[in-house]
Amino acid sequence: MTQPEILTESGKRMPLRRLTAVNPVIYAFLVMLIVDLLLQPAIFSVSEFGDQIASALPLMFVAFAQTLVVLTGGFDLSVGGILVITNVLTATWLSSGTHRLGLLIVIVCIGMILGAVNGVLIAYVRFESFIATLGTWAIYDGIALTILPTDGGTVPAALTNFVNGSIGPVPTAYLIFAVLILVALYIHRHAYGTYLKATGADAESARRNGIKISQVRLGAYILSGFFCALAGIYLAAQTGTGTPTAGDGYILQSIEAVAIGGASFLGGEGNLLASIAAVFVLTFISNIVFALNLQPYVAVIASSVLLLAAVLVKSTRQLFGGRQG
Amino acid sequence: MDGLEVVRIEKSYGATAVLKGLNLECRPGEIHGLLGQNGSGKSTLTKILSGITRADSGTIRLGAKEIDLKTPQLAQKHRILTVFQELTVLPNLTVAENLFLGLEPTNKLRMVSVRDLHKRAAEALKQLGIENLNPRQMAGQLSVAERQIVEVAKALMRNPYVLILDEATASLGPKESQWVFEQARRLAERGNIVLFTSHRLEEVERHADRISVLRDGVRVLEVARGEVDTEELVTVMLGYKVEQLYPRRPHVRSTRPVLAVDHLSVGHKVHDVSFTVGEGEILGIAAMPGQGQRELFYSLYGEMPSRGDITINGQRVRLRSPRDALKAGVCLVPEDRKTEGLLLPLGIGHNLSLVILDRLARAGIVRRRREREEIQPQCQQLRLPIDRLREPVGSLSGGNQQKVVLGKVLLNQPQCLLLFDCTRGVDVGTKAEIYRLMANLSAQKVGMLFYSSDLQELVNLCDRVAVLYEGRLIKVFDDHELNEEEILKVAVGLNQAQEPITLSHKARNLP
Ligand SMILES: Nc1ncnc2c1ncn2[C@@H]1O[C@H](COP(=O)(O)OP(=O)(O)O)[C@@H](O)[C@H]1O
Ligand SMILES: [Mg+2]
Repeated sequence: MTQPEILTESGKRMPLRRLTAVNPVIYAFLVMLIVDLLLQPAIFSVSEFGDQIASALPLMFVAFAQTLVVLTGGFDLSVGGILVITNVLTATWLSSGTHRLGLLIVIVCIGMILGAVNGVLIAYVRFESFIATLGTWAIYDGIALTILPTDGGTVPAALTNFVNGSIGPVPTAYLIFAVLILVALYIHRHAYGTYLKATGADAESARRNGIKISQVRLGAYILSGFFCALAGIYLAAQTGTGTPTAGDGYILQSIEAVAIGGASFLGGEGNLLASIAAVFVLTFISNIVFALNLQPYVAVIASSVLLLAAVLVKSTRQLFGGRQG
Repeated sequence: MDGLEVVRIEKSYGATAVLKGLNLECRPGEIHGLLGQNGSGKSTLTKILSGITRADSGTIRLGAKEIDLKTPQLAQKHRILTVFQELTVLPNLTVAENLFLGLEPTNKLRMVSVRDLHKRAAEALKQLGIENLNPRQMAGQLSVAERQIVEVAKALMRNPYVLILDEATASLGPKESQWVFEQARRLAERGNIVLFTSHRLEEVERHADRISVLRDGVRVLEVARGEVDTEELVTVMLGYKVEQLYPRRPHVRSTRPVLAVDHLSVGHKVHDVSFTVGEGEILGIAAMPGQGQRELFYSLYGEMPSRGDITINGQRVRLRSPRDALKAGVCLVPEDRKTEGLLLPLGIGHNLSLVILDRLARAGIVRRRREREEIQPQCQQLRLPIDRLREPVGSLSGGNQQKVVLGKVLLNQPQCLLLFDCTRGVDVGTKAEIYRLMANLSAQKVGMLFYSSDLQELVNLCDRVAVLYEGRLIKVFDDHELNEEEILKVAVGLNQAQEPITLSHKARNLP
């Protein structure tokens, strides 16, 4: 077959194109990694880095959830609410001692049902996602506080030991992280990943292409609930207790991570792996701030500056790169 | 009856009845042309047949069996495939992903193999005779014409029994249009049905085996090819006789230029272009898609940076934004009503008054009475529905939307008007009104630069026509030399002993 003209034309500009086509979060990741490495090389031993991953995992789960919803062109503010409900359930139900695995599965399912409530409100009742999840966030938070008014409860030692320990020589955190990466790759390669992007970019066009957009949206919120439940359970297992107020911090941070990962809040654009990389960037920033003995709020400022930089890179690209719409 | 049969379909949006008991029959193996003014309900019928909207009442039969098209999926299951008037290509997916949307080749884990996808997309494109489209390209980077081609290819790949093309050729050049009709004919020859709408009458007359004419939501005529002539078709379509589509106006040869362009270049798309537009003159620009016409017009409107001199009314100007252009007295009427120029959720009144708010406001407060006084005559001149001033512009038909755009532009009282394919996808009735308006403006000494993809229009309206080819003005035809065929030859680059342009153009016409 003849070489398509279009290919050869863009091929001329290849070298520079390649560099700018890379998601900028990769550069941020590398820079922060190197700075962090120079400041405190000790962190990067296998076990120390495992701890780093472990402390970043809950946010990774939530950022994962958020990315899926943002891809459809929505917001999920209730991620914090689902996280705390599943968190306190883990800390209260599992202490009784029987059917622990079954109960864990039930808790995950509850997370998915809570996500489905959002999904139905947004995909079928046609609420704005922002408003719908603003409402359910408050309700879910309230439910969590009813179940467990203050920090407490207990998580079985077996579970805590499992997530904080290692399987053979490998810390569990690495394994969970690896599975998360595989799941991210799977979703992006699955036809559903394409439908998510299509629905987010232009729902009406997607519908006319025969995509069941309501189901796609509902699916995104159910998956979001699933990953928030994992975050809630993981957090409970990690700390050994339930924390009914743990959720709120994750909401903005997850949105921040998704933005630094280069997703578009108009929908249709975003990458699960990039969001995970962005969570690492945020982790590295707080490490660096800690190593330099600065006040914690410096980390907040630094990550916000980074967030604005990410948005700036995006908008300048749209200005100078090809039009997308 | 075999084939597709639509019986007494009714459809209303709120209080407006759009389809009022429409009947339509398409026989197997035929290409069926659907004619009608803007707003006559063609697209509504299309949407009903593809499961996008539901009819209020009526029956649809396919192969003598009654079918219920509740969802787009059901329509596709019945092998009814549609190319909609509004493009549905998704800009954030690649060409291949768009082509296979919903039919992705997957493995056992339901994962899409990207390599397989690209390979099969390339094969499919090749089989359809599209050589120069890269399956890996992001659809958002394609020109409008290329997206339209992808759209048609997508429908063809799904093995349609009924293929519906709603204005599918509106943004295509002659070469691409020909490709579309070749594919349609091939499909029909295998016993399938093609139903298409187009505002190019000659296209309908040439390619349709039978023609149905819609007016106000009912079919007013059904004929076989050649049974009636063009004039009668137009009369039936409009419901009245158009005495004269193109207004008679004196030939203008003005020595006072309102717009003078000297050695203008825009990016890689326009090279060293010079011309003048005199007072009251209509200078036509003829070009195949993607020859730099968009860049030329948008740079003159200040939306794209350019090099070279631009003189308006004797003053050298620098146009860094549309604001600069408006100040200098230059206005643009764009082709894409949906995305450019209109605020669809707002009413006609608001859309119109937006441009003259500073004239209407005193101390920052808009004087509503003054607003009405200024806007009503404008609506009358354009024959806009005055009783619907508050309805969102998005619910008006395409022709009326384009008239709102024109109204906005005219409220600015421009001295130089840039008309960029503003009659594309507009029905004959509205077209005639736009032509009449142009003639009036010409009499008021407004200079116009007029690009149209319809050569007939250029030949009949313009004082001179310049041909743009690969970003250069290669020939200017004077009034007495205007001839469609000659212009076309130059526009496709034939007189340069060059290869005719292939289906997908090297020059991209999106910024
Ligand atoms: N979603 C809608 N809401 C309200 N009115 C509509 C809608 N869609 C179409 N219409 C109206 O229906 C009429 C027919 O439109 P359409 O089918 O697009 O005509 P055509 O394709 O023949 O130009 C127009 O007057 C238009 O204003
Ligand atoms: Mg239409």
